[in-house]
Amino acid sequence: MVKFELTEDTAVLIAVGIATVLVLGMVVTAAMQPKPVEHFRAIYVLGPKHMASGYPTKVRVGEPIYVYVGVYNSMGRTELVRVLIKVGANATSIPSDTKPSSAPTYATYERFLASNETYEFEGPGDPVTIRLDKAGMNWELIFELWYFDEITRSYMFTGNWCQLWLNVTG
Amino acid sequence: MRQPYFVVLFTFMLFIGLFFQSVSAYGQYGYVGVASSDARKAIDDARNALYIAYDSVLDAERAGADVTKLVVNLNTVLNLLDQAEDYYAHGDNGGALSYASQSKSIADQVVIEARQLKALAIEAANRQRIIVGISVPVIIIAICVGLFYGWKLYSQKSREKILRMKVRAAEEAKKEETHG
Repeated sequence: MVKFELTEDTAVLIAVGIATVLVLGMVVTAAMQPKPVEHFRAIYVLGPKHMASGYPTKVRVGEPIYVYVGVYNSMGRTELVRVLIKVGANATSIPSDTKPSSAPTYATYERFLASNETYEFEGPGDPVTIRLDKAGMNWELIFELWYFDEITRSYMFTGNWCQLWLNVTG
Repeated sequence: MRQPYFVVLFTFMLFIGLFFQSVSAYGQYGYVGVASSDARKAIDDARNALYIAYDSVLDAERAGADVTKLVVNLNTVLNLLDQAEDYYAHGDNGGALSYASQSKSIADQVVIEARQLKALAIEAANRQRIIVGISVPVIIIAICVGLFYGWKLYSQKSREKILRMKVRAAEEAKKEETHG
């Protein structure tokens, strides 16, 4: 039978062995952890030339308004989102980060977004067309982003919104 | 005298023909004379099926499955449901029921596929755990054995070097004695 003798050599060896096991364990654990992702949803509105400029400010009644409405999902999972386009007047119904606008809904768009996906309604290259049928000053086009909460089975306001100000002439 | 009979027969045949033509055109999806409540119920059922499908896709995704194809199908379900709502809003209950049924059918299919993908993802994750569970101890043992024999070899070489130095020192002392 081999007799174990704790010499200086074996002590160093045991220490190095334990250190190796610890380092390797930490490396494997870190490698198996999911990467941290910043979770957010976003909505943006672009002008008719697909740029963040040239937004319509003055239109006639019934004249088509072309804007690109895009949504982005960085929630790290598939999301069902809804965009509500609302038409308000004279800053009476501007939404806050917690409360949606009380203005009437003009149009609704829904879409399932895969993780890290960006989508523009009504599809790639197709802008959203809006027609206002009433003349007035300082109309607001409000674009609100909602998401579907699978626990409550209802749509919740994300607190993300954009708006355009318009004068509609007769 | 026979002419009125022909006229009646012709009119009757024309009527029958037009009736079936209109029925086949209207009922291109096989839904004729659908009640509004039935169409509404079908749309609600389809929406419910969509939410169930979404739940199952989220489940599969949490298990690590690639759900890209399922998300495409969910959007198809959503589009069909929109069409159903449009038809319903325009009073076309047959069209609404048809689109709602198609929507529900695809949503049900998504649930089945999501469950299959989830099972595959769990299996793959388990396999990966087993591989890691086996390979990590093997690597650790290999490193320890390597270190042990490496250290032993190094110690042996060092001892031999020291011994050789002693022999050389003794030989040099002997040489000095003989020459001196």
